[in-house]
Amino acid sequence: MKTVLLERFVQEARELLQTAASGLLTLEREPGDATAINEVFRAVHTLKGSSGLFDTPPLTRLVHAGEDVLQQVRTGAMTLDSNVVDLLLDGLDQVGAFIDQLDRDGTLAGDADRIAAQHAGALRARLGGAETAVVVIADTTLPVAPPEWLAGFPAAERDALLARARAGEALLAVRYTPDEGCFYTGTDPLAAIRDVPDLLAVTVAAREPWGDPVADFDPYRCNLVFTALTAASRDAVEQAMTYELDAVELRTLVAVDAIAAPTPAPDVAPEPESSALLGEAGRHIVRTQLRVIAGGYDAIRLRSTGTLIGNLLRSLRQDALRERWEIALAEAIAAEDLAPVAAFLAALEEGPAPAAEAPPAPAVPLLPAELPASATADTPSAATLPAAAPPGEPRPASKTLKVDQGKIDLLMNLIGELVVQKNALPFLARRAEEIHGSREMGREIKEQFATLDRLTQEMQGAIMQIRMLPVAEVFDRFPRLVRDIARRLDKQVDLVLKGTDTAADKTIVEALGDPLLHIVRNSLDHGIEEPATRVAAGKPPVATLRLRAWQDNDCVVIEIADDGRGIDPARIRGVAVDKGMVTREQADALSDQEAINLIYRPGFSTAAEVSDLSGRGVGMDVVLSTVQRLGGRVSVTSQLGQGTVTRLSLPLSMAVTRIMVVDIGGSLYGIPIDHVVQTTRLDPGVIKRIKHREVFVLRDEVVPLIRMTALLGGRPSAVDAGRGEAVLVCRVEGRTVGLVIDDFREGMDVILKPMTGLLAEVSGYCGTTLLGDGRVLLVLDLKELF
Amino acid sequence: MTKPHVNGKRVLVVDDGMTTRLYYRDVLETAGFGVEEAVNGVEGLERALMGDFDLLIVDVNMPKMDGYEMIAQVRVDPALHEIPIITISTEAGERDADRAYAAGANLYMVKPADPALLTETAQMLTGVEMAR
Amino acid sequence: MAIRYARSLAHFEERCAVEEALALVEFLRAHPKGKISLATCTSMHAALLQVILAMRPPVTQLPADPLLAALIGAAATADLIPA
Repeated sequence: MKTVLLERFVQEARELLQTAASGLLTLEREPGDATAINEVFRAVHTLKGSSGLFDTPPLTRLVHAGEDVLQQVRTGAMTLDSNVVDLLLDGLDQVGAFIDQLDRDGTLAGDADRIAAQHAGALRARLGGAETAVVVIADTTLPVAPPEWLAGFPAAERDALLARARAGEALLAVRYTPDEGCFYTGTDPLAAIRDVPDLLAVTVAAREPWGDPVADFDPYRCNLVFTALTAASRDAVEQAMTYELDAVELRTLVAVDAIAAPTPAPDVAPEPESSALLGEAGRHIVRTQLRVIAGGYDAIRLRSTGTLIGNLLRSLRQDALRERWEIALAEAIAAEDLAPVAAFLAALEEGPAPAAEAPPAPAVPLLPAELPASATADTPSAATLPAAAPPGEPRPASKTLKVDQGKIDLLMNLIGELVVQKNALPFLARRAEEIHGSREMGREIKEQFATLDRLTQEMQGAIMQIRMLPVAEVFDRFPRLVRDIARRLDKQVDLVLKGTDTAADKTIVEALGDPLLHIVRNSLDHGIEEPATRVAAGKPPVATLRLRAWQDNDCVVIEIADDGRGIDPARIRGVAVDKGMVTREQADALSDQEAINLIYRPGFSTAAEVSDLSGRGVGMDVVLSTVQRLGGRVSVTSQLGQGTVTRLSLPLSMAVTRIMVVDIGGSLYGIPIDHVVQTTRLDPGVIKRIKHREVFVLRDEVVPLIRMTALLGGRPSAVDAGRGEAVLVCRVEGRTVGLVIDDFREGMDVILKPMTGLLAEVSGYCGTTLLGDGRVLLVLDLKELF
Repeated sequence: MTKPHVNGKRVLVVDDGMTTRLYYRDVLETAGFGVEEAVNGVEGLERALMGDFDLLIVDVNMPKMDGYEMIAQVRVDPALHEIPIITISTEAGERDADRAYAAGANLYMVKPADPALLTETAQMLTGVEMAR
Repeated sequence: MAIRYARSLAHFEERCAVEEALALVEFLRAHPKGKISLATCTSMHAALLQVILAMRPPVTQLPADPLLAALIGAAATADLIPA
């Protein structure tokens, strides 16, 4: 994986370097070009972010220096003259050389640190004076700097900084003792200490007495020790000095309890129990939420904190605490006051009381399990709040159960296995009859099977119901999207949603989002005209876009209809020919509808049309493949000047497929039951011939007959003259066909497994399933066969 | 490499750096999360509004629409009031963190986020039960 | 650029790199009363800073860079402050 990531980085870095370099050249000609400077800055910034993922500090350091220079240019603090452009281009060239080294050797060359330091130093030398100090929260985990660290600073400067720190500003002392031999490894300690952000003061001293400078001073043995004071955070300092961290010690300037009000000092140090429960990550999350809500009571703002602390406690399996959190939340909402929530979070961060005892007696006022009656009774708004518990009840008894999706999926899989087991019973019945000669036993097993069959079907139905979601889940996202997109395109669109409560399986509904977005986006981009164009064409200026859902037998149908300019088949033909998808002759031979269907062919959409949405060159063919993967169909109809209608037809559920098992040429196959219209037996006399095809008449319709053994191989069994030919009448893509097979078998519910391995390339099958007796059954895909 | 059992939680990663996106995808998928990507704030917003995610991870500095703006827009949608949002930035400044919180983020992390820390944080924010 | 030596004065010009440290030490050993000028110095390697701190030549002009000026200025005045 590491190498894949590195490969990706090398590729990305080269692109970004190219972008940055050409942007810099633009800037040299047009120094005021804001777009160009932003582009260059972003490229370098992104490169810095990505480089941090690898153990390449010299690279990061050099890019960082370049970014800082560009940041000053961007804010107007520095003008970009040719000298700076030269420095930046030199730096970028060096980064390019580093990338080449990484690509070739997987690591940077030994002198990288020295080279990077030179370039970074040259860039940093261009940077202006001190940056503005940033107010940060004191880091409580660091010890206080010893007095000798501060001895080297001028007294007045030192006292002023100490005063700032006591007033609550988090200032850090950085002690940097470079390695004695560092000059030989290309390190420049002076450049390194310069890299510390938000520097306020620096001193340098000798680690050991210099001795006699004439006799035994070695200029290449580093005997320096630097002390820096900074307003940057610990993270920032550590990041800036990543490559020298071994030689760096960090301290706070003053002890946290020496910080005066208004910053309230935490009166209790974090207890070991809390870190045991929450861990470092959890404590950070909780601490941060205290800051997130610090702006004052905001019901909306509180919701994400409410959810994520609940998630945190669920993640830690602290159900009792989670209940108390819910109550604290409810009380905070009822009283429109953050106090209960803040108290809970503060207590949580410090470490909750042991949860074993009941009722819990927390050291800090976590709310008791029962909500005091006054909490709701005194607050008029409480009655309208769903989360507020009625007095005297520990928790509101909710009628909705929130179930983890994984548990539903598990249940689905178990039922799937039950279905397969159940399907073994008819085989058992046949064995009872044929091998053991017990018809009675066979019949009893069949009766048992019928009952079990009904129960599992009902169970499946019930689980399906749980998984059913209304399409509103997806539709409801569109009003705002359509408005935003239309506004950006200067178009006026009226969105009409119908049938939003039509329900389908969760998997289907969730997967609908992307295809729908593509179609709607396409309609807004290409279908719907600008208001002026519409008026000129005699249409109202405001276009109408309809999203409609309804259920059609076992399918959910989603229709996206606009009254835009429609699809011009002639244009589609032209584009398809230009792109080499079809020849001119082929294009001319297509009907208008066939031409329109071309837009769903891979490669039809141009990158320019789709890059704005996804930047990944996703075309309409993805809509088709997504829908087909779900077992659905897409159709487009369009009338030039009148509009376009796209229809997606998807199965209501996708977990279980009902098939009919048939015998063809001595082998068993499955046929999805939704194709089967009826089973019939034809007397050979009613089969007619039209040209070379066999047909028969069914309810005044001429139905072509297909001999499946001719298609799939195998030897047809002799026709039983008394019973006639077994024919399965199916509807495939709107046409009726009669499949001549050897015999019908039972219908069954199966979990279809997609074709894999060697079989994946074989067309004509939609999947396989395991029969009760362990055999693999191939399920035919009639759409592919005919 | 075997992936552990999927945990059913979906994360949207919004970052203009493709290496960074691959890195998050690798770390999070290894932990069983479903991961989707967006390459800028505009696309991030569209996908956040469209998709059913349990967590958003948003870079601050992005083209077209930056992370602050995207998060603020996300929070306008009532359906997305609850979703936990992490901002990840190369800048360690507390000012940037406060700006992110003001926009509606719940957490601020500094790039490059340590894989173990990122995994644990994502699990905690989405309520994935952790091994004791 | 580099260090330019003119009789007993060493001019630090723009960026001065680590390679110059030995030459500077030899210059100061040869000219015990030698001085240095940092007027046009934009940056110097820590090894050069170390030579200045250890051998304490009189500095005729401080550099414009605030960090360098502070470090060298403090060292130059340290003699006046009793230990």
